[in-house]
Amino acid sequence: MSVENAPVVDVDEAAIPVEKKMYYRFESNDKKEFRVSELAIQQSETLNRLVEAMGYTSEDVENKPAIAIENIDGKTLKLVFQWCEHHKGEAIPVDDGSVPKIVEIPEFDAKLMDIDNGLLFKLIWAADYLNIVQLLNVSCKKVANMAQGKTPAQLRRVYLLPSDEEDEAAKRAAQEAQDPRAREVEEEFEERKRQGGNSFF
Amino acid sequence: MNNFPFLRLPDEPQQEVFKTVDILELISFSLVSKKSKTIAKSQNRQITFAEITVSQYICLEVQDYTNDDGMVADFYEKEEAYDDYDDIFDENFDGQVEDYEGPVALTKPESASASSGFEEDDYTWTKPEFELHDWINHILTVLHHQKVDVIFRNNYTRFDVNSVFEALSKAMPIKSLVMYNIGRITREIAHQVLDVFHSTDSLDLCKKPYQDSISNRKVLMRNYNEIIINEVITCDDLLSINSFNIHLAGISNYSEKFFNRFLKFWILGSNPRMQHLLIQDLSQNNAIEDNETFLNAEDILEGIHYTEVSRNRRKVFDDRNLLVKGGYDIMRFDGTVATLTVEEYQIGGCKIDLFVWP
Repeated sequence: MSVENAPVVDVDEAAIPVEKKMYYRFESNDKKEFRVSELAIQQSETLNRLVEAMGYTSEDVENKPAIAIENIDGKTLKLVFQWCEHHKGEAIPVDDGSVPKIVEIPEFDAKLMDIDNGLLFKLIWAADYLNIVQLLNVSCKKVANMAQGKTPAQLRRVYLLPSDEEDEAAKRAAQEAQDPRAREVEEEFEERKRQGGNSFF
Repeated sequence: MNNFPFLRLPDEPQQEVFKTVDILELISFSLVSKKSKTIAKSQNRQITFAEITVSQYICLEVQDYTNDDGMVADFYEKEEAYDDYDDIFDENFDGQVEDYEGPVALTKPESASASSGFEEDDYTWTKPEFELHDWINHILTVLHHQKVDVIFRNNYTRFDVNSVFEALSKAMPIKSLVMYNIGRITREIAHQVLDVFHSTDSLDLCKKPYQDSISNRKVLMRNYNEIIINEVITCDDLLSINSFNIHLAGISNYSEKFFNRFLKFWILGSNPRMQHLLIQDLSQNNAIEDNETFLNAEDILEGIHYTEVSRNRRKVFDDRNLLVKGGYDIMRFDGTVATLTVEEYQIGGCKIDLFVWP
């Protein structure tokens, strides 16, 4: 049968599913705007719930103001969304609570996290806040790798950990900064505890 | 910026960071401060076993077999020290150690040399305020492990045994006392160890510690949960053992007559505490070549009233979940039932179990 003689079928174009990519607009606390795909947003439990709750259409996205993320700056948010776009559609790992946790850092993530520790800190903070499980896993793994081959003294310097004496001093300073009456009550309570009393009153 | 403000992270990321590290790094971190110890401990990291080996130096080894992870910490190590690990299986080793300076009392360790045991990653940890038991308690507390095995591997130690016992008594309870190669240098230390470490859960002996049978019997009669003996013992020795679980291993050449005699005495009431007897006899390796037969259950049971049970009957034995398939049921005078199983190893040798049912 030739092409010319083929039967003509009317096609209802509206019935054909059209893959329509949905994007959302977000704004960092320093007013940087980002367009992020719906699929990428699914990596963040927090943002995914937020956009679901908003129920925006494509028109709404264009006409309404960008969704503000007030406690993350543009530099950090750029890294977060780059990560989400690269890993969009990937399954979100479920933490079964077992330790040690096996986490591999893929090449893309390693390059993305080739940043100074200040920005890495912000990235972890953002991953935790936005609940992006795998980004939190890999970024924490990068921090864990800093411990490799380190003695306790070196770890103290790397992780800026105070010694017990410094902790005690900080605790004392905090107590001294307290309201004097509250401090008196606390001291009285401690004294009664030392004397073996069961009840403060 | 070469440092990282770890404690300024929210709680969850703080926990996440140390979920992925090896045991060695976790312990290194825990030694920084009380706060870091709390964070490390909250990881709830578990290990399979912890053992302390006493030789020229004292070594604490912990292993997590599930995750192929572990670490070793050596105390009182001397660089020029003779490494007796190399000679454990050297029959020609005469046990003479140059410049032997023992026995010396334990003092505070200057440091701990730690490594994962797999790579060239030696750490030197110092904690001037720590006694030996503080080190052991610290490491095992972080790893949520309550008991240790103590091993006198070569029957050689430059440390005074009482002093070692005193230090370890302040640490975690001792689960198992393992004594290998008794007699290599002198039995004197073995006797001291058995006298001093007398209340462990289990005892693992490579050789009988005494040369006279009366002294050996006194050890065998102790109420251990488990006793493991890697040397041939007589039926009278076996009858004198008072432990719940008895494990005879190694090349032993036990005969059907040996077991037959033992079972007859058991039926009459000997070894009343015994719950499980396991004999792994590797001496029949040559049986295949020689066309000899392995130990025969029916010969073992000659003259004993028994019931043969189909392999389809499967019973789970005690909390170790040992699956007992079939076997031969016998009954003691008081009605207690036990199942005897004899299993050939494909590589030669056989395994004999006697499960006493509660």
